[in-house]
Amino acid sequence: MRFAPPPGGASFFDHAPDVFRAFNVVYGRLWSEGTVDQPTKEVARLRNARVVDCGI
Amino acid sequence: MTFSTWLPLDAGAEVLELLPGAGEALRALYRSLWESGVDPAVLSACQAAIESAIGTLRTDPPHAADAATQAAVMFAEQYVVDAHGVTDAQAAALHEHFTDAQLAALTTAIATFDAIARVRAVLAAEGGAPVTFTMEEP
Repeated sequence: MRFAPPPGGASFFDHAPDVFRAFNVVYGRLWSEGTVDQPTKEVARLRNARVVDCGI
Repeated sequence: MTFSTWLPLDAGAEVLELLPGAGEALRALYRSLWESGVDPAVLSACQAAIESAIGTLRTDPPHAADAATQAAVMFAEQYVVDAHGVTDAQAAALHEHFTDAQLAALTTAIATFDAIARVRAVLAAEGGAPVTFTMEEP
């Protein structure tokens, strides 16, 4: 594996926990706040994931 | 960063004020990148390369001075064009110059720089209201 998680970690990004935590706060707020409803956001997420072929 | 936008905003408005909670969290993420243990010069070089590739930087990015910066910039440019196109040789070069912790932070930084540049690009329109999209290093 090119980028392996640390021992006990679930993701490669667990190597930088402070940065990963800050990223997850952004991600969570984008989902939980704002005027766009969550189904619309999910459509955008799925569309983006398919365009960049992330495996979803 | 000031740019003109098609958004119906007054001149001088801050775009991230439209999303106060997420905007503040994005600024906190951005600050954390510069405190992550990756050389700020490497981060700046990657950000310039990404903005140049996306078109939000109208000048040529500075030449990468050393092998570590060159490896990081190549990774950043590949990320923008096609993240699946990162080669084994590119990954090996990154591991040669950066620790796993630095690579995790660098990858998050590249994703963040890419996202910010793309948001600014898609909101931009010549002749629109000049607005700001403020990110600050610590």
